[in-house]
Amino acid sequence: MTSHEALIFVSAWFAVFLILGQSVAIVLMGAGIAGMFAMMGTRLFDGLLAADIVGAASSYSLSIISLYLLMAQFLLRGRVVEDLFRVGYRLAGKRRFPLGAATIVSGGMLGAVSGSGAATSAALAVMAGPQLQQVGYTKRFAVSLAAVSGSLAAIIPPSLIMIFYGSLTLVPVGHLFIGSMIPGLLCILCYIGCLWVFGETKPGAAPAESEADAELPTSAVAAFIFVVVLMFVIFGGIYGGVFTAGEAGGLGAFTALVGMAALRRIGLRDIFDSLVDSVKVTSMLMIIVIGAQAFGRFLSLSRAPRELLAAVEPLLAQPTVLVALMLLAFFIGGLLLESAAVMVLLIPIILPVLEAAQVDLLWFGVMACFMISLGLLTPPVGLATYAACAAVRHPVGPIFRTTGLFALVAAVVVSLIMVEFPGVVTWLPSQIQ
Amino acid sequence: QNLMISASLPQVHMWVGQSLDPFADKLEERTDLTFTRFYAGELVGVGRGLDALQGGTVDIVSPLLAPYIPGAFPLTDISQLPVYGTDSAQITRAFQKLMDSDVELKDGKTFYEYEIEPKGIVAWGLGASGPYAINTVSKEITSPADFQGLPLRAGAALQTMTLENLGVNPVTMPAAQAYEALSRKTIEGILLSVADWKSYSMTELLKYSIEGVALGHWESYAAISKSAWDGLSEEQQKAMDEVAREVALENAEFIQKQYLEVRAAAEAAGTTFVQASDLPQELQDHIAEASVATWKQWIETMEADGHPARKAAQLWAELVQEEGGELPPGVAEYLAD
Amino acid sequence: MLRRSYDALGKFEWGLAALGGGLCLLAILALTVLTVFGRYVLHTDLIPGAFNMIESVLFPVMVFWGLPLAHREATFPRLEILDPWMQGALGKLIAGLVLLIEVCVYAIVAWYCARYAIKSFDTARAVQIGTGTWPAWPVAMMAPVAFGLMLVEAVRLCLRDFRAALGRGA
Ligand code: NA
Ligand code: NA
Repeated sequence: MTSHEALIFVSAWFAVFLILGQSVAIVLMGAGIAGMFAMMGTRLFDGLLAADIVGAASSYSLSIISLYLLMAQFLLRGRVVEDLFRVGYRLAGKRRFPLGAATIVSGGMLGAVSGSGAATSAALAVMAGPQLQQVGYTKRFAVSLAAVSGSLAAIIPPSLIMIFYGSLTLVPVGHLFIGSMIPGLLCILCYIGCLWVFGETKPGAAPAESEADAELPTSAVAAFIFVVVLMFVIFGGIYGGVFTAGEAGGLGAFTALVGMAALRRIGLRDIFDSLVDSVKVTSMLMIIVIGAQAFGRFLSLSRAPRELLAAVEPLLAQPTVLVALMLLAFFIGGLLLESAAVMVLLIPIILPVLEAAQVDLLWFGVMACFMISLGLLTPPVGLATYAACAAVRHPVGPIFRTTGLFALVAAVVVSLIMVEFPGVVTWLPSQIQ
Repeated sequence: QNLMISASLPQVHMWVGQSLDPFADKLEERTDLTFTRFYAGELVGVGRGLDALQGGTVDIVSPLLAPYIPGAFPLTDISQLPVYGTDSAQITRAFQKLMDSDVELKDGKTFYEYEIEPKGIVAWGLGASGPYAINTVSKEITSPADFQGLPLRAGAALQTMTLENLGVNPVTMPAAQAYEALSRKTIEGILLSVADWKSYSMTELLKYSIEGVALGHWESYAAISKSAWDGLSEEQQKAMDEVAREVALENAEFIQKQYLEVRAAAEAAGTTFVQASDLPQELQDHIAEASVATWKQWIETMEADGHPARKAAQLWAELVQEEGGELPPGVAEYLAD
Repeated sequence: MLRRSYDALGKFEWGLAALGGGLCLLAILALTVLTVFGRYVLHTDLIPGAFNMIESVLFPVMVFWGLPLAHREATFPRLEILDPWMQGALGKLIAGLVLLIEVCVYAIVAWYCARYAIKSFDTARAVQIGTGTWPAWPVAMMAPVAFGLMLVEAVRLCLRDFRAALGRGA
């Protein structure tokens, strides 16, 4: 088969098996293997396939994913999500809009110590959902807001998707984390704005405007303070140049372990379960990397990335258009695929283009991670939305309408700001010690 | 006739842009061979070159990074032994002679027959790197005590051995993190050839460098699989052999030129280059002792594993001196025993 | 009999992920913390080659040990949009065919990974750890183990779907 025939064959393979519900990692691996076979027979398998698989799994930069997952696990099992929301609830009182905003902010704070969104969304749906309904929001909107707030974990650093980007482009992960801080805050503001505009209340719901009556337990305050300390350890450590993003993950996980154990929030059983869950999720993410590796080899062989580069040559002079197109590709990828899969699939293809157009890889990376992360909220595969719905047994369809809307507004508003004013991304990292 | 050729490093690396590309260009010019080139590990990643050649994935791998395939090329590490007063061109020539040598090392096998042939490949040496020097960001080294516990990023295993013998605290970390670690003083220095400072953006960062003593030179191969080689006509084989040798020497010249450029730029930026022979005698003795210890240690470890390291080292020492390099004081005595 | 050996296999996969993988992760955590502690408190590289150990041994082993369990518990993300239409006999048949492809993928990968592991052993391939080297084959060996276990599970699911499509055991 010529490389063009092989490309068509593999694209068809990819689409068919993806739609038929084969897991993304296996679709990638299968398509890669089929493509290599179509072009070169079994010639590539002995020297490439196995060495690539072991090689892809032997990655220091990706190993830090497991540490960030572990930290989040300790905090989740220590029921810190609930306490963060409890503090927000106490501050907001039974006032409708402030409580909605408090939900978003506590999602954001939790995001600052956790790397991926789905679990946070589920916890918030259970915890905040009923309170939001009590102050007059519809159930539909309450669940949507929980999903949106939880998804911030992927947008606010630290974020797993940034670790993937860093490992693929060699942009220091610490810089990506620090660079995403202001865009993350902008996104929180944007969601609060959306809450103001799109907030959906039950007909005739009396706007209860009173202080919350619930007593705030000291343990909740302790948990709140602990999260703030942990944020300081991670970001202070990276920003101050004390340690790398990988070491920050290790120290964060260690601090979370010690803190949660000292506060008697987790026992041996929880520690054990946290370890197992982190291992499972890490393996799940790594099989995507392994699959993408096989697929990427086929792509290199077919020379598709170089042809793409040649095709966009005329656009190199207008990097803004080029960047906008590529961000759109990331957004669409995020709609369909698991975030890690989008990253490991797209970056090898477009990296040559980015380099040729001399796009700042840090700036682009922060924007690309942002676009992909919004996919947590959008149909057909929005993991945060699914998790929130599953937690409270609510049908997904109506929720997607709201979460999709939030995501779309954030995509347009925040990315426009980042494109117009690159400084919001690049200034903080340039101040790293 | 088309051959697939793969580099695990990007085109900006001297072993690709200044070695693989001219190699392929010249052969395309002089023969009817054509090459499909893959760069930057897009097809074959770092450390997987040998698998790719043996598995028939590609026909040619250049550079075939021997130091990144631990255990596969035991004797190739020889170029990383500490030597005095050498440059890229001398070591490139010495290494070519080593590969061509008919001195039998073990069971009637020459260096080439022992190290290269059994792997089912045909190989040539590349242009060797410049001398690996000890470079620091602030600490000036004036006595053996200054080495004690000094955190330095190390490279290959054999170089780490030398550092340990000096009393240095060798730190292993990914190359990509070295710049960050140096600028925030997590490590105090790095083992690197001056010619490579620029590609790691360290010209402004490193302030002190010891010249004239090399903690070895990095060397690797350009290799074609035996089956692809056998498929070439005699004429094509001859052209490839000539071009590979020619390109290695030109590459060495390029590295030398780059070294002078970087050195001048660094000196202008305030870097101090100290000649090893100008160091206090006590320090010179310390470095010599550490170097001899490394030769010894390497030979003994390799011999214990059954490799003819002693004979290979004797041959290497002879060839380096033939090219104008010197052995650290004490090495010749040790080898003569 | 088949049922019981399948359950035993499940326990084995759980043990690999939970005990083996969990210990690897704990070790990665400990190495990272100790490295930072050594650097700032003791001013020394406390565990030389810690970075190599994580990269070349602990992390890949953890991943390969975790994979079979992650696969068995169906945590690999996928598009689920067609699921509602995949319940009938035709749907099961298609699902079975998709799984058959998956079986082939695992088989090919497990086969070539096994060859690679054997070759690593035969040629005494090594990984660099600090100033020394460790043999590479124990890590390489875990890849075919992982994909072999996933192959078994995929075969089971595939047979289940084909049976359901043919109206038996549905
Ligand atoms: Na986060
Ligand atoms: Na989505």
